[in-house]
Amino acid sequence: MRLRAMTLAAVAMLVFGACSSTPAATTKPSAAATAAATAAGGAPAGQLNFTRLSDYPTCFHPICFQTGNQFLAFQLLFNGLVKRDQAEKIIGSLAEKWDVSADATTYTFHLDMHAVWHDGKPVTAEDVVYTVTEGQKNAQAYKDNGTYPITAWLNTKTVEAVDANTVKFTLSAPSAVFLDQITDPAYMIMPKHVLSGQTADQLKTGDFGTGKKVVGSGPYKLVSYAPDQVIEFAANTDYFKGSPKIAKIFYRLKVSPDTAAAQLQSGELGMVLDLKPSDFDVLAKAKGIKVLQTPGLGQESIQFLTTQPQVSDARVRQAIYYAFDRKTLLATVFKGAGRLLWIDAGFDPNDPKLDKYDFNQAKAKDLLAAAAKDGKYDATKPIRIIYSTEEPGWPEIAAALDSDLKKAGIVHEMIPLDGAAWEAKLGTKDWDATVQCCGSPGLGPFKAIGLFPGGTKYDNKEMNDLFTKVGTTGDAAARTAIYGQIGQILNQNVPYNWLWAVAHTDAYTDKLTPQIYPNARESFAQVEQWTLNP
Amino acid sequence: MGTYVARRILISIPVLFGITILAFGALSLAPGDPLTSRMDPELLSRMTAEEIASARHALGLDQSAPVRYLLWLGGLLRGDFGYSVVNQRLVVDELSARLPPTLLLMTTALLVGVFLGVAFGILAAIRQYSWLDYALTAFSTSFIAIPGFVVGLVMIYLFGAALKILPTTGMFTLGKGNSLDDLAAHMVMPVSLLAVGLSAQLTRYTRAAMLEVLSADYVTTARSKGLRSRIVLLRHAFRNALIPIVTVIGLTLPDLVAGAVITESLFGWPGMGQMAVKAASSRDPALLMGVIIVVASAVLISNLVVDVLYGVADPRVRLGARARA
Amino acid sequence: MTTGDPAWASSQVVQEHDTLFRLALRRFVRHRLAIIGVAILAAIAALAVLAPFLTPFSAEDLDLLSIRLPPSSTHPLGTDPLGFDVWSRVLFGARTSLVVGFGAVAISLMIGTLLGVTAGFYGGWIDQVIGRLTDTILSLPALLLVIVFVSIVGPSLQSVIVVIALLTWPGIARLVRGQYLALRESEFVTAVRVVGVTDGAIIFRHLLPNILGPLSVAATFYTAQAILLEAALSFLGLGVKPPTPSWGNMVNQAQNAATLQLLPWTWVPPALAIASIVLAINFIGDGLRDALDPRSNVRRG
Repeated sequence: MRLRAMTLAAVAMLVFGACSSTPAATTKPSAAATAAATAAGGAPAGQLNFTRLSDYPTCFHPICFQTGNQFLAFQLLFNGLVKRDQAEKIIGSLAEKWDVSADATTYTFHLDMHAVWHDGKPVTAEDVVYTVTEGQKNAQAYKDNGTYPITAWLNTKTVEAVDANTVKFTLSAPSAVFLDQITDPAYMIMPKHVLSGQTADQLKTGDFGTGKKVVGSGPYKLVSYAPDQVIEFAANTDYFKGSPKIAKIFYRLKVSPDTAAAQLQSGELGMVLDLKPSDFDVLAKAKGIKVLQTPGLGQESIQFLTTQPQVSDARVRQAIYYAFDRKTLLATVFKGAGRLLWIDAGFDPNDPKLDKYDFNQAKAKDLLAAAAKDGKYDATKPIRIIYSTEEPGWPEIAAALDSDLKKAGIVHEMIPLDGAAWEAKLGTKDWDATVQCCGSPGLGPFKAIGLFPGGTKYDNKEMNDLFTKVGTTGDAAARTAIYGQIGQILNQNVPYNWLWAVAHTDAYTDKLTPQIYPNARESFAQVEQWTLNP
Repeated sequence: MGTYVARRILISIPVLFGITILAFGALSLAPGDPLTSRMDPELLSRMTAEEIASARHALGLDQSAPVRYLLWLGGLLRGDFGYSVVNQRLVVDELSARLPPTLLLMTTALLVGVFLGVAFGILAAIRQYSWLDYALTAFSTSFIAIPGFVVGLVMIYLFGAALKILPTTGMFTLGKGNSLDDLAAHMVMPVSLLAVGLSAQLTRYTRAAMLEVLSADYVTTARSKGLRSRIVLLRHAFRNALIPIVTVIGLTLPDLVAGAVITESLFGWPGMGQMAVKAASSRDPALLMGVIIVVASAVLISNLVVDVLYGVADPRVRLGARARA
Repeated sequence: MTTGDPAWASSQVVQEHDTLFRLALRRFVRHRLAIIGVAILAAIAALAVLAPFLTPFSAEDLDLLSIRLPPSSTHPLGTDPLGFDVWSRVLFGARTSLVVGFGAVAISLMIGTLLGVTAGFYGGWIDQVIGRLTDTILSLPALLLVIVFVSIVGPSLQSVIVVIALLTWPGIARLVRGQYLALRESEFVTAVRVVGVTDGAIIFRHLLPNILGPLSVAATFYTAQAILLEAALSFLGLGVKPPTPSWGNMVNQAQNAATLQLLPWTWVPPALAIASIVLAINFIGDGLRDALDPRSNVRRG
């Protein structure tokens, strides 16, 4: 039920790959692809059974988009205006090209003329206008559903259909990250002719939302959906970017993580995304299976509730950072499947001004002694560290942390909780620190303005001002510089002890030629190009 | 007999209420609610207090536990099982989708398990202290002794991953239609795992009960009267040994409906067990209560059946004559 | 251990009691498997008690620099994926398993026998009330109870014991009630009642010995069951939490495909340990049943 690393990609790109976010980028999806596929391959063939180990909520409309797993189904069925390629660069989806005004307040999208819905009707600018205005109208329902926020739609002042294939967005404030935001599946374009007139509740609980009758524009059509069992998709041979080459895709739901590797070996599954890292050893030896570790965008961390007296002083948080030998833990238990962090994964780690918090228990003791001397820390009172026993890898992190803190003589208490109890606990004040994971909370102005402290409640005026400034700074180099400043503040105050950026382990039959994205669940973005040999 | 059964059914109704109150109460004591359990914690931590309150209100979570219970009960009496917040579906749809696979799996396993268990138990008792007795005891106790999930995992890796002779997951092969032999192949491993576990318990109980009866005076008397030993066994001994056997079967009946959680999750069987665990761990009140109502009703009925069977097994237990000053 | 014959003089009863006890003991000692069971259980108990002297490593300190090591002279049973010494954890885990097994069953036997006896003997409304109580517990799907209960009190050794006791007492109560239901209608009870023996005496002195056989089988079964349940709870993430060692959480590492296939030394020893203690307890149960069977006492005495 978690949105791991949802939009971090956007930011990583902003920070490092400033060149790629040049406005007015134009991408021409190869119309020739259609012809080529038809000429070369004929009808699509084969069947791919895949899974990603997590839950899938009963929903096929963005109004109830809650978990990353829906991304996979949404990408098969729908299109947004833009999407990402495997290098995380923004490319066209329904829009074949777009223009951005110099002040980054007006975005004009030119839709692909060949785009059609699964029922044969053309995709038009009116569908885009409908999607945006419905989203704005249903903003409250989105919130009440616990749905991923549609900030980009809410920041849109006006959206108008210039002609059948051109749609113009005028934003309420300049935004350099609008395109990044709308690559999220919450921004998929919905068919006006099917859904027009339905209330928020009907969208969610009606035939569309519950998967009984879904009309999309994506490379696959929904055939059937058995909750908690399987979603069946069939190739949309009329797909405007070219017919997919794999005839059928089955998304197996609720697969036990314990048997996923066995199902790959038995041939019942052809692809599993986000396996346990430890499965790598087993599958590397299996015949006919490719297994790879891809640097990902999620990250593990220790998050502090910085308003708690025991951890309000930055020196205490630094001390725990120093006391924890995360490097050895990553290298041994997690088989090196990740990149060590000392700043949030989206920031430039090579800034020489950043402290790397290498393992140093003596320094940890000094810092705590100093904090105690100033009355900012009570060495006899335990630091309460909570964690969920249901999150993969957390029990191991907790065990190692426990052991290291004991060695450093830091009085603490590890509190294991089940998933729901842990999340409920986060809303209380009965904890000082927690094992935490997943998406970057602080990066990208669209997520950061007024939002960064998140669960840490870390409040720093200088940093908040910088976040406000970066959101309206159009110049990429200037933005990078501001992010550098923010990074230094975070690195010194460590509201999180960032541990490492997680590499995800994925495996598939060697007959398949997939594209595995850094964010595994984005992998279907160009699924029509995948091939599966018989 | 008729009045007895009617009275038992009437008594069951307050028990059912008691169960729902107990379950609802326990669930509302557990930390967390469907909102926190299904939302991304980072998103949750960014929501303002008003936004959270509004979301709670939309889900009906802002009322007190007794009010929510009464609302749920009111709905139930009108035949409305409510709406699963987490699965975003009607509870009645969820239950009707989950019950048949569980009944299929568990009934098959129960039949196989009872047959094996009773047969092994009788054999072991008749040939007490023979090699057969030791072999059967060793077989049954070793399956009692090894945790089921270990056996299940080893089976999956052996027959699924290594030998590739049996499917490991679900009820049907994806994309192959729903044929009966495909279903049978998918049932082999989960049914074996459950049946062997069940028969292991039953073997021991049947053996113990049979030995008890075999050493009893009236069997000895019957034997000494020259009745052939097979008839002695069937007529006298087995009939009396039925009481503990019926008890054990009665104890396993709740699982028939509730499903075997571990087996279902190992073999991806789309039954009640998996859903029940999800309902409990995500604190989905309507779904959890739906499961509990179904399981509890089934169990109460099976208890009644077991009690009636006691009477059949041992005529000295007179159902109607129970109330004694 | 009386013979249940009310006509016997009290002096004779004492003497007879002694003789019968010795008879039972002799029969138990003759039961070869039961003696093997006692030996295994005693060995495990001894290892558990002496654990600190037999293990060079602490069971609760992990060493990340020596993980997944195969058995060697330093680590006789190797190390697990977190660098815990498996041998140390097997020995200290025995403590957990024994405490869970006997603790939970002691609680559930007390509750179950008391309620089962009362219900079965008195019948009527008492039976109804107790019957409804057992029904209520037995009608709630066990694992749902466990999940909800553990999330309220948090996963720990104590909560595992309490949860298992809560789950198992109704089974014992049912079994005892079923036995008493049959016994109280027997000619024998009518006979002792006629000579004016009180209910308490009938229940505990005359009838209880009669059900010790089935009860001891059940008790051993539930002890073994409790040890297995602890493992099952670990499977569901609700059991005893590391770093506290338990055989359940050790075997549970086999959930991981890599551990199952590549690191057998981490989970086979605790699995064998569970299997041997469960077997031992079952053998003892069999021996007890044969030794305590009161009807065979009467016949042979």
